[in-house]
Amino acid sequence: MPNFTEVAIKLYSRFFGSPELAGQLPDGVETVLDGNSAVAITEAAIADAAALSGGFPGSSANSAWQAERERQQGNMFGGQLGQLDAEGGRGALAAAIGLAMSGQRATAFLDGQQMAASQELLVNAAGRHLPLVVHLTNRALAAQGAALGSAHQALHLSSDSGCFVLHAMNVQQAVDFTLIARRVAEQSLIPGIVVMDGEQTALAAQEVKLPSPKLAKGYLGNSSDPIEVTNSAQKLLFGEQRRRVPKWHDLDQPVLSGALQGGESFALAQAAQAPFFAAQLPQLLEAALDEFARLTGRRYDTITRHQVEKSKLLLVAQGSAIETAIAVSETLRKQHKVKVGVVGLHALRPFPGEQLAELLRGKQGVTVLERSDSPLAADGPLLRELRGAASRLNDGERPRLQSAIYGLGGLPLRAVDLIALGITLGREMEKSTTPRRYLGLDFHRSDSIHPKRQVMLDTLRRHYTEIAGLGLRGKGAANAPAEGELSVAIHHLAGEPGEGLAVEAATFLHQLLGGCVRSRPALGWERWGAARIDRFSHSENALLDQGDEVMANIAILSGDPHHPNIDPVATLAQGGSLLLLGDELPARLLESIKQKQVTLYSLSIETEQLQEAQLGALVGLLLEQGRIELKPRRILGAREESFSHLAEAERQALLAAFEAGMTSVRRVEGSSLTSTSGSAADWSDEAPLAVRHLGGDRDGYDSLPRFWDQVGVLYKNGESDALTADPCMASGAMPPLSATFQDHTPSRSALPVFDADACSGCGKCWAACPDSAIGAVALSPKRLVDSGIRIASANALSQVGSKLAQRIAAMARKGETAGLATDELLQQAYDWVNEKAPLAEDRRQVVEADLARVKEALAPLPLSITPPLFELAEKAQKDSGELLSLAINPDSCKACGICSTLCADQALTMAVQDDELVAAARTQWQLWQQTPDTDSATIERVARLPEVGPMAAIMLSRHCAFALSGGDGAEAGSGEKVAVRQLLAATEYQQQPLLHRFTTEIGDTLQGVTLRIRDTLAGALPAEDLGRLSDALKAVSTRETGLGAFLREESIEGSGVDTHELKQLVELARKLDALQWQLAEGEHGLGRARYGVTIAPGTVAAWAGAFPHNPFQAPVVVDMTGNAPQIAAGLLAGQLQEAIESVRLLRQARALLDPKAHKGSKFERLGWSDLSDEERQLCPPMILIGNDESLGGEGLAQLTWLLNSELPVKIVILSELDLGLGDRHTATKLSPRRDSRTELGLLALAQRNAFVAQSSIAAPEHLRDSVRGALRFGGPALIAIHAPSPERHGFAANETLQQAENAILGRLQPLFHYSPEGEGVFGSRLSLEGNPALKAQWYEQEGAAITPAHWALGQRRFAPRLRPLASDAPAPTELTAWLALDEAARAGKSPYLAVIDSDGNSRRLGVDPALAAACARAGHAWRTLQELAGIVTPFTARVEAQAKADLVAAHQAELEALRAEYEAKLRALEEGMAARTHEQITARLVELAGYRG
Amino acid sequence: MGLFFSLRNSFDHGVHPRHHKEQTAELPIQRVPFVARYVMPLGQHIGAPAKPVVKVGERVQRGQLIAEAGAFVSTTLHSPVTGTVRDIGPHRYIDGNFRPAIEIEADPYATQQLPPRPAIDWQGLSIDEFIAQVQAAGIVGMGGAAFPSHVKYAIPEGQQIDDLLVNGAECEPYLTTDHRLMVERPEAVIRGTEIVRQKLGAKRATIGVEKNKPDAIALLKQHVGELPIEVLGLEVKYPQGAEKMLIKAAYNREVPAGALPRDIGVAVNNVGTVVAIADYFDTGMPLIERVVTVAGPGVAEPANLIVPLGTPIREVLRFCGGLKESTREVIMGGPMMGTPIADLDAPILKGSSGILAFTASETGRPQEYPCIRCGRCLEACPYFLNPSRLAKLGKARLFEQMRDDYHLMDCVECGACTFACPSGIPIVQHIRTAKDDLRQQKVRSEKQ
Repeated sequence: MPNFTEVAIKLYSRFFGSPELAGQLPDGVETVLDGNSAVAITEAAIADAAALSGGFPGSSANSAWQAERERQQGNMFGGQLGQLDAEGGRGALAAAIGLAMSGQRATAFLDGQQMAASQELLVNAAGRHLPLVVHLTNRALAAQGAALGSAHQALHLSSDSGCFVLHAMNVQQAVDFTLIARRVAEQSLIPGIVVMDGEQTALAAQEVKLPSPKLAKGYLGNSSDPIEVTNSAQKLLFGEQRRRVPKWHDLDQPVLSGALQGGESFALAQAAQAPFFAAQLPQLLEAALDEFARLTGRRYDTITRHQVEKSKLLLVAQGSAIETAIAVSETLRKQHKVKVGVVGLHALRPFPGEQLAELLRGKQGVTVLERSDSPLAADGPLLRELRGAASRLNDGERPRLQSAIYGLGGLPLRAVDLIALGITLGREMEKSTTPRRYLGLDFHRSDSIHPKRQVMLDTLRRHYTEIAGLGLRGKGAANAPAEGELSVAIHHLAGEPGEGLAVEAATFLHQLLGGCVRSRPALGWERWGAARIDRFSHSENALLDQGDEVMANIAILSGDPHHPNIDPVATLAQGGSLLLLGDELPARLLESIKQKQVTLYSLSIETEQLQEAQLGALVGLLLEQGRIELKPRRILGAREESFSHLAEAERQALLAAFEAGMTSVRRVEGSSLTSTSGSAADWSDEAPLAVRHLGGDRDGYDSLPRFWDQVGVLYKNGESDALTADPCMASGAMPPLSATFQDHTPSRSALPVFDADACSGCGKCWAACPDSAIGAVALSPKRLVDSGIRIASANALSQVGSKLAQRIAAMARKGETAGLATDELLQQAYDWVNEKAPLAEDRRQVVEADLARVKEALAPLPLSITPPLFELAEKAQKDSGELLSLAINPDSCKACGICSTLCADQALTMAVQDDELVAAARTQWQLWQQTPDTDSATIERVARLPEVGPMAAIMLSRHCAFALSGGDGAEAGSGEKVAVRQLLAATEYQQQPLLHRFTTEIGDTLQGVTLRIRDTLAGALPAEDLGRLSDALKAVSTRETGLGAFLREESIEGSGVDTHELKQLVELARKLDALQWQLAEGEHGLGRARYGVTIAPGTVAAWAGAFPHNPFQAPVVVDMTGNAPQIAAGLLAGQLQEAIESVRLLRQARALLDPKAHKGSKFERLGWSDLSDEERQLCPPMILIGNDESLGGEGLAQLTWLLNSELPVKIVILSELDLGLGDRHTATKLSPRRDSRTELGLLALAQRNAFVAQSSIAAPEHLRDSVRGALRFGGPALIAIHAPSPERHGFAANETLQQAENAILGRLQPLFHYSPEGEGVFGSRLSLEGNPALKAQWYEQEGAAITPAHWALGQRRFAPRLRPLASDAPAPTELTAWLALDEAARAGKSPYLAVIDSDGNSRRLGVDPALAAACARAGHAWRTLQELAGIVTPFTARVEAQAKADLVAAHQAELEALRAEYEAKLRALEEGMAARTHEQITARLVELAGYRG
Repeated sequence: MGLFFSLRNSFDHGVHPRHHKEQTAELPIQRVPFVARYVMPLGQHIGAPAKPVVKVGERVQRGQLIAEAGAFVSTTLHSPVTGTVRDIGPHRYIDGNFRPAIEIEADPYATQQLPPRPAIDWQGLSIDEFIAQVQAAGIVGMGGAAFPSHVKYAIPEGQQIDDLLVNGAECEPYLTTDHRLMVERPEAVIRGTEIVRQKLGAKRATIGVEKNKPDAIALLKQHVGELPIEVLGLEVKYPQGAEKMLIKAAYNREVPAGALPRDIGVAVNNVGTVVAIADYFDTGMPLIERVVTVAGPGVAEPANLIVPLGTPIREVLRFCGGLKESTREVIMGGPMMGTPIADLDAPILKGSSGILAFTASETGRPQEYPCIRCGRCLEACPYFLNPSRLAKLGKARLFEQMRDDYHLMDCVECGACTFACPSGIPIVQHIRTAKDDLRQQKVRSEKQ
């Protein structure tokens, strides 16, 4: 998701952040701002308080509000600016209602989704007569998927809430409507909604004049001022005067509001709204508009009319489309001789029905531009309103009405489409046409260069003959820039330089030349490698928004020109200019450059401030073309002015880059450029391997081959605009592993290179690769040779296969393999074998021919002899050593460099990629994929070795290593990806054996059932009754016959076979058989998924769920509504049902086979609670992935509920560790503040019933154990993992694991796990194993304690919080020492961090109070954990002494007791002995005496 | 008579069978899914069979050359699919006999996208190069006989083509392939016509379309623009689409018996052929697929299909919902001139314009009665032959006499006579038998 906040804040600080301006009010400043920021700044000037919530695209409004609040603390009326942080849009609106009720002038900024979720709160606000103004930024609601762009569903939903609705068509209008709405709301006591379109207004930079204090004061006044009431109803309520914003909740006037009413009183109250409140709104609005015009000269009406009188045809539009419609109406009139008038609607409520009816009177056709689709309604929402208005007209005066649906979810509204619409309307003026059309999209294309896609298209065309006419898409070039207009398109890759250039350039041109600016930012989910085009237009005269995809005069190519999806020439108008970086140009562009007569400019420059240099070059280009007629010195002066808010050094660096760009840009001829062909340009119709792998016969929504043929090929070839509407698109589903379609080669400039001889087999690289781009396999020499034979189909070699393998092993033992390529190794081994045991000549020739083929096939395969896989194995048992083969997948590698950073052996190094390197890597990878999977015994063995560790061992298994595939749009070096990948791998490794066992059990049972069936049938055959058999045989005349001749119904009955049981057995066998197939194979050959996944909104969703690239193999549901925990619970219920059914079947079969042994085994109506622990393990768990914002914020209640359920849902929190500071890596320190949510682990721990772990990608073994523990525990589990993000947190992409490690060392992410099933008490179930210096408060490195601030130091997001300590800082105290102080003692001291900078000088960095407090919090949390786990407590010493004493005493007592007992026994024994002796002697004596008994 | 004739744009004689086109005339052309196995017979038309240039086990790309022309009157074959050559040997032909063919197993996961090729600059080609290109593209007459097109374009020294006549008559009942092509791809029809016209040096081109296809006529007229191409509506009559009939209808000129149209300066091409030519020169796609009408009362879901050549007929029928129980006979081509299909595993050929399935009510052979000399067959015959006489001689196996005295070889087997005969005499069958016998005699004598 793009970070528009940054751009907005940068702009903002440009104009208001300069020190000179601080404390001043923006006095009618004219500048360039995006709609969100402009509106927020306006609100901050007039309102008392705002309730803020996050969310896209509203977050930039929140940021701007905060910035303004931080800057001036108060509004224009001198009041303190209040702020409430709310969870989600509903929360924000509710908070705003509270503010308004207590008499505050309040506002909230909501996006479409949030507004849709807040409907009854709006009704509530209206019902309570609150003069609230709420800002809505249109965004499409999440339907079959989610889109970032606009749509008007939420707008239409809200229009019946009782609030009035003003819809702005540009940024200026949004700002002005903010004031007007406020005035009207406060006069009428009806809340207002001010609406902006997303990417066209809220996120688009345009010129805007902000209100001056004079205007605000004159037009609005303070919220607490007394005003005259506006009608008699208000007079009855308040008297002649009232507070401008009434206090409905007032300590001085204690009333109860929101009474619980009976039907009658409610109805009466409701009915009273219309005449006493709503009725005066239209007049108040008119008056407010008039007054505004009087004060500003900007005249607005509820309706904009353009050429209405002169046209028979009308377009009705609202929002940003109005400008485009007017621009197009002019084009149509001038170029196509079609007269189309435009009616722009600015007030949706109150709906100006009467005025509209007048405009519609007598027109022939009226087309309503709708940005909302309601497929089950007869008409779109706006058309319905219009029909209502038109019903006022007489029959003959009513025009034909229809809808044109456009721009759904950010679909471009292109002028060409509107022109096509106008022409069609002009042509069909007389005829009645389709009631609705879709602008800018195709429902059908009659031909595709992809024949398999054509099959689907043709089938749809045949069965839905009407769809071809539903879509309307203008052909040819989009409209050319208007007269005097400069239109620029900037091509760049997401996450790469060039992202902010459009806004920067537009702002600067406005600063230089004044005039108008319209811009259009590119929207997209993926942060890496996606080609984007930002556009802006500038004109010194008035400028109308020409719509999306306007042809540019100038294109700037900022990304890699070889990226297949970048074609800057396509966006250029005839005779335009193209500005390149460097002097390379892809050959494919040359032809079109010639055709379009494009003028080329080149900028060759080495600078850190590339964007600034590009801006300089753009200005230089404009100077050269005479489009700017200013002295360079004047331009430089202006540029310097715009850096006034920056520090001197930064200012100079930027200015130098700008000047260098301006002076060094030069015009070049195409012929003088190096023409190069891209590496991925070669045509291939080879399907990705996953397509072959997942095969399958069915062509349904879940079929990967179908997806490849119909969708994948289009994206691969950059033809995604050739997609059409079809049922599969409507499902929104993506088959598994479709991310493997993506080839990242063009988006990357480096590739790791592997040196097999240097590798020591530690496995760090392949375990940590975020993009599953490193494949590793352990191959015994025998399997190596065998797979070579298989791959090359060289069967003759198999007769010496074993000997070859033995020889290879022997060579490896002796270290003779070093430096040998695989083919050389094979040759040497063969030479030796042939020498020792020569083959006969004829056989030798055949064998050698096959050897040559195997050699050729295996030559590229790298082989390493590594200690863990070979030497240690050989030590344990001769000939058990295995070779390691490692390959890089050039499709999915993003060149983050994590692998080479981790590689202590220098076996993996990053190299600049060229065609050759990529081709070699591709060959190697394709070969590697054909090698067999690592033996599971090897994985078991290696997992126990400390050199390797379990995570790397697990990743030797292909099932685990590719549980998450590469090919997605996550940033390079994404910590989230590493975490999710390791998590899924561990899950797969844990679950697969269970599944295997289950499958085996089912197989065994199935065998039992089939045997029983056979027995039963055999019993039915009259084999004993020879007479009957003979009779039956007599009846058979043919040589062969079916058993049916003997086995007739009566014979079964006759032999006493229970047909009922037989039927049951057969039915059962069939079900078991189907189940076995489903578990082990299934449609895709993947078997039944071992787990399900739910993804909560957030950054993971943005990369893991971006169409059309699905990196998962298991079923995944991406939630965008913010209710992921509940959705997961629902999904899990279904998932369990399926599993329980399998268990039931097994139980039933067993009971049938052996009724005695399974007596009482329940199998009917089985529920989760009936399952044994073992059976529960067989049920695939649900993994819920989210971040601390989505699951810790709004979702917290649901999360807590889940943690206390019995369900096997495993919650994974990928934590940003923002320390409650909400810091992101931005240009300024201003960014949204969030609550502290970093302690979700502790929170879960408090539930006591769930398995809870806090783990890290830097501690893979701990992570593996946590996952295992979570899965073994039958109930809910939560694992919190720190997921560092290079881009958001600000560090190099290869440092991800180091950052994670630092978080452990700094006690920010202490490792722990807690199992409710553990032995003993709470404390003993909690383990802190894995943390360094377990008993200490801080871990010490080289004598210095590591604190969270040390971790923060490595991330640019915290840079503003760690500034060089001011020389006059009071009482500097080293942070650790400061932390050791108690609260009171800390006061007045300046904590600092002693660091050694790159020059070896030691420096003191002052720790910002908020960060210092966060450090203290983290330390406290660690202490709490230590206490909980019983490692350290304040009473430790006392308890220990007491325990020792107790133990000694107990010991003593025990000894005493033992001794006493022993002595007693001894005594008894002695006494007994004496007695017996006495007795015996007596007896003997008696005997001797002659007495016999 | 002349004026009247040219007004009604038709020929003398002929018949008016019910056209039955309503079944598929409105159905858009639809591509069939790729299937597992394709069979490309080496000989698909009169002339020398093609010679394979691939080996068993070889991987082939869709559009790749798999057999080259065996002689001048022979054309090339291209793989209709990306896959592997499985066999080169005898395979069932539609008549049930075995004929040499290349069998290709499709790769189920290939995209089947054609390798992108730049458009061929046909304007820069000489006529010989053009002919070589057409032969390399494997293009044949798409009307039914599949006669190699390049042979038609090789005009002997001294002859000049003045008129290119594009045949959009589609007079056979049931068939709607040409109709759909004209409606859906009028620009390709015009473009192909223009390519052939310019290359042959013809002054003008005429596209003759029967008047029962007014939509096609209107669309073509829209797309002609400034080109010297006339779109001509023709009377609806069978066999309007036979070369000589068409020339008569369009230009009111007769092609003498035994002569070829080019002898009077006319070249005739089918609509499908010119579209194939346009496609080849635009995209480089050789003739690897064609439009086939699947219709008739025996078909569950009639359709106009784009079918890769070599697709087993059974698969095509399966795509159309299979045959109804009541189906008695399946015919390749039109009902008047088509051939009964003996084996549904036989493949779609370059000349397969239709697959028609008939039930008992259509195929039930009427009881044959003696000839009553009503003369209706003479009235029907567009070539002014004497069918009743030919039939009688045929019955008596007097083949030479049929040839020598009754212009047997002028018969185009249009079947109008049989259609007209009230006595149910299978006249055209007798004629075919005679022609076959004579041809074989000739071959035998040549061998000796």
